Amino acid sequence: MIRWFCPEVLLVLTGVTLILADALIPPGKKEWLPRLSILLGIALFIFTIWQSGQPMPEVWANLFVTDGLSLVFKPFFVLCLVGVTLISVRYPMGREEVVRTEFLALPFFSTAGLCLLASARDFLAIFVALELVAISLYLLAAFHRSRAASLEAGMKLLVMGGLSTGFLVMGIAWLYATAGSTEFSRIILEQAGRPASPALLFAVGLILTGLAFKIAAVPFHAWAPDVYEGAPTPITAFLAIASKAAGFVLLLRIFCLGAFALDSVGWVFRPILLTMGIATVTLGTLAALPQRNLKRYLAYSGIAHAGYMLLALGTWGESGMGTVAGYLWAYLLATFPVFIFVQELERVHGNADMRHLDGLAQRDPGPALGLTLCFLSMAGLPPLLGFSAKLSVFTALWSAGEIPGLVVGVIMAVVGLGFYLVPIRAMYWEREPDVVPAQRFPSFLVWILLLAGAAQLILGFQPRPLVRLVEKSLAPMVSGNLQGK
Amino acid sequence: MNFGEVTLGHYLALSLLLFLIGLAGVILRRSLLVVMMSLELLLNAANLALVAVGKFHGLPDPQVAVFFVITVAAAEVALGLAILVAIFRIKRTTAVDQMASLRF
Amino acid sequence: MIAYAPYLILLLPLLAAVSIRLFLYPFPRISVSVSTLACLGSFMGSMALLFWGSSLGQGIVPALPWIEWGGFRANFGILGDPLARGMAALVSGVAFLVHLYSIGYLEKDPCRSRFFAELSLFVFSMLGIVLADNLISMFIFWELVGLSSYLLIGFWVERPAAGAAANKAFLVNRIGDFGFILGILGAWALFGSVTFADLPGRAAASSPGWAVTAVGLGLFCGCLGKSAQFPLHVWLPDSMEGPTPVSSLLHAATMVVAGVYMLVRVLPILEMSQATMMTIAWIGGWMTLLPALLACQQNDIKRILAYSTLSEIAYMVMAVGLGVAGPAMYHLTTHAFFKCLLFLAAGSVIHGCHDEQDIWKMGGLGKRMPFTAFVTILGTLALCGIPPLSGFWSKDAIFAATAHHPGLAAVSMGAGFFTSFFMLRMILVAFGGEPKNDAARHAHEGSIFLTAPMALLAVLTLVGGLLPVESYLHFQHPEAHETWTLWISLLVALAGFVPAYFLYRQATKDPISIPVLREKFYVDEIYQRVFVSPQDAFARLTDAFEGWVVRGFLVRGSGVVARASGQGLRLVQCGQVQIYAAVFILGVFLLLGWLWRQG
Repeated sequence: MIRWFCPEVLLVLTGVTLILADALIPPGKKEWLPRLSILLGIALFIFTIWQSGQPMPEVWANLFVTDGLSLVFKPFFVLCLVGVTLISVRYPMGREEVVRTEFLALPFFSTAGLCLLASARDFLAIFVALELVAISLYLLAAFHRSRAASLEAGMKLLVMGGLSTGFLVMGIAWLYATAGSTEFSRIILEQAGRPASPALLFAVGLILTGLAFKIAAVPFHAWAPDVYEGAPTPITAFLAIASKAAGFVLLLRIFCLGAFALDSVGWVFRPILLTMGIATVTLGTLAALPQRNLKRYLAYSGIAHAGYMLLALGTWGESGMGTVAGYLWAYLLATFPVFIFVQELERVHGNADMRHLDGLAQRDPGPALGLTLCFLSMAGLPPLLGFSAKLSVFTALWSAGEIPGLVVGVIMAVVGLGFYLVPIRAMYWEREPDVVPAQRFPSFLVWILLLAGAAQLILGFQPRPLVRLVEKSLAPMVSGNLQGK
Repeated sequence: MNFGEVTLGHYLALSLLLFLIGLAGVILRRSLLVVMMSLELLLNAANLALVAVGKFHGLPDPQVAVFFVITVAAAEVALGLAILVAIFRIKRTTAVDQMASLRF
Repeated sequence: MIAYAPYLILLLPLLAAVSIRLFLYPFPRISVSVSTLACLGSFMGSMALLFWGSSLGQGIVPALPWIEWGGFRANFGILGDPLARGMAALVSGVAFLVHLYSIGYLEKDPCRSRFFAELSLFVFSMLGIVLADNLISMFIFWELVGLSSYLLIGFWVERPAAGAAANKAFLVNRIGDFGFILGILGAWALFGSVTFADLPGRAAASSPGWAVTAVGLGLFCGCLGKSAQFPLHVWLPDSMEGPTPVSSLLHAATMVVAGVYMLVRVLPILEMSQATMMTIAWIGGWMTLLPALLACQQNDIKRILAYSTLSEIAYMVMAVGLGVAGPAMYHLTTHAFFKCLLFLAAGSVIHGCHDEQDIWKMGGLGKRMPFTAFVTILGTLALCGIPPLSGFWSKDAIFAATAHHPGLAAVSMGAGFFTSFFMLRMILVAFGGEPKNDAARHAHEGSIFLTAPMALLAVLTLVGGLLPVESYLHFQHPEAHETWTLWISLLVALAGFVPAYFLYRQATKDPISIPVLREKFYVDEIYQRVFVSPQDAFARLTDAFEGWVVRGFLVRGSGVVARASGQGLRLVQCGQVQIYAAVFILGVFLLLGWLWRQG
């Protein structure tokens, strides 16, 4: 009985409950709804973790599978949801206060889509789940209707997302035309041991396009900085972390484990992923240098991180896959706290300009310390977690003999240090602005920031727990659910 | 005149042509409304390919997939129109090139 | 559980740094004592480890499992060999004395909590370098040391020069670190291990070749940056913008010699390639001479000492290049004592003269600060290698190693000449003669916190030659000791005092010294022709190097890259969603074109 209550079902039920509650409860008595949504989110997170330890049916009607990857990444997505809800309740919506509940409920639907993605093993299921994620996000990005920037962000996300959906569906159509099925196991059976036909490569290329859009890989990245800047900050965080992670989980599943884990396909797509990775790392790093808006800055930083993960993915080996899975957690831990802070900055100043960081260390040393640790971890400075993540990307590249990728990656890591130091310098060495807003950082957020910073340090010194998680996420897949029991 | 038999290749070529027209529309048209219509055209080009493949290979799955695509497209359009209306309320225009305040 | 106790040596300063930063920040007095006591604890722990560690045997400290990703494995452990234990005792001991000194030196600074937190962070990371049992964890502490150096140089945030110097030090060090990490990766690739215990065996088992040379040179790059050797030496003189205790601890006694310590650790790798060893020896050889030349024309008391530090480290580097690690570590130890002493004395002078650093504005301090003058002379004699002070023994050991390399012997002994010259010049100008201004006239000795550490270091400088270094460095004085190196080096060093004495004895008597100088015109002429022009040329060269490479390429270069990428972005990231769509579609066509070519 309990097995039917998988996270996806509960997430959708929670979302519906929230919306119904909003509709049924008379206005003026809903102050507890935001708090309820946080509590429900946390409860779901605990439930997901608990359930990942339970025996589960492995295959659901050939559409979904429960394996290491999905068991590890469903909690990841729900954790993102909890974080987003936590800061959504503090998002300064202004006049639209009335419809806030939808702002809280929609991420639940989107997360349900993400969880479905984590275990989908059929391209049609992937398509539906992706759209469940994407459509909620279009709406959320444009949610702050009184701000032109938010609407513009929603519009851009919609147009670019629609475009990528078009390519994805076209790819699926061609997949039917060549392989006769969209089910991973059937494709594998059909295609194994044969040279890949041009039509199959065409289909894979189109599908890759749709996923490259999700992870904002060059040249499919152009939407990201604009949308990140314009969208409400909780949604930016969701896009930057959860949605990007979903793209990588899909890439892992499709190219390394599932449908196209074929030598004939890999031989062609490996250099493509590596080239894309090199371009993405380079552009993300160089473009981040002149940024002065923290949200755009994080967008480019996220693009650069996606590039490192693509490089690891392009090594096509088990260590590369493990690296991607571990890197995603490191990325979540380092980036999310910064988004929390960015939103507080916006609450006080109305925008996320980097000059608001000036002299922060003097007036608020706690958040400054936490942020510094996060930025240094993103920069990949030892002994923080980000260093281990980058190091394992480089070792994967080295052992796969991908020297061009390694060289570019190392150079960009050094250049990147330059731009990650910019906010740190502003916090510690710039003078405080003359007009200091009276508003202080709420203490529970300070503790979250400090905890995240401490986590970077501890996991940097002792990445064992993370390594075990990564091993768990890869173990069952390697042993062969390829054949689709 | 005999044009020969209509094969799967013809349908796929037609769908690619429609797809290209859609792409051109997305890049070139100035009105956001027409851009969204072009996006729908992309999906419909794919639908055509799906139906054709299903028909010629005798598979039911692709034709079922079309329903999914149509549903999703409808949701997307509904959302797009809502955003369009909201933008028009603020900006008094639907020209795509007028919405470029976020950049660099 | 008791086996883990040595980790406390590392943890105490870290705990101090963290607790000060988090909780004790508003209470300077508590912060100061916490930091100092933590350092004392580390020192006592290190001493205990030094004396009783050998009975425990090597490898008794259990390593903590650390990184295991893919095929990569690294532990986090503490190295228990005599070299590490001796070095740890040295570092923590000197650091403790500098802590004491800083209490007096910064007693009026409102930000001293921050200073002591950063100092504790430094002690933690420096001990980490010393005790690290593999290259990866050493690199991590290496970076942390770089960070704390950056923070401490820039401690006086209100001085723009301090910020610039901190940036410069950080940037220049990054260049070296880049080579270092490539060297580490290369070592791992070649030998399959980065653990110091494994390296000798693995290195002996593998065959020499260009790859080994490249790895050795990469590791040496790390040393070039951290130990400020040519061409990466430019940051060290500028780093004197930091508070004097910092210059003393980081930029003279401990941090800058980390490069030498690292070279000694990886010596098995370096020794496999003659080319690497010769490069190291010759860079070291020339670096003994050139900074000594530069120091002859400096007027800032700390810069004189900084150039002398460059020169002394170069002796150690040269010794490593000659394959004699023992004398290098021996000189490292004695140098730590006497150079730290000299810097503390300089700090005492600066403190006494109200932040005056120009020696030409001091004068006559010998009478007003007799104790400081005495320890300065003591330090100078040790620095110049005059027996029986500590510096003599260690320098002699290095000179003995050059016996079969006449070229290196010539350069390094020539450097000894100039070292004597500029040190005597500094003493004569600053301590001799009459006071040049009111500040110097009212100079006075500092508090007990300033003098006590100096007194302790003076004792160490005096008797440093008697330290039982052989036991923990595993080195004997070379059996076939060729005495000519001893006598010539001693003679040359003493000879250096002569011109300085004649040039600057007079100069100190009269503050308006130019006419007096003019009377001894021909001496000046020779001096100008022989020393200053080449030195000017060298200075111009280094300045050009600094201007083009450091300022132009690194600092301005990053600006150019930023601007250029900004311009590039403006083309694509123009805000028009249809341009984005066009780029997207172009990307798809590129991808499909690639596929077309492949399939």
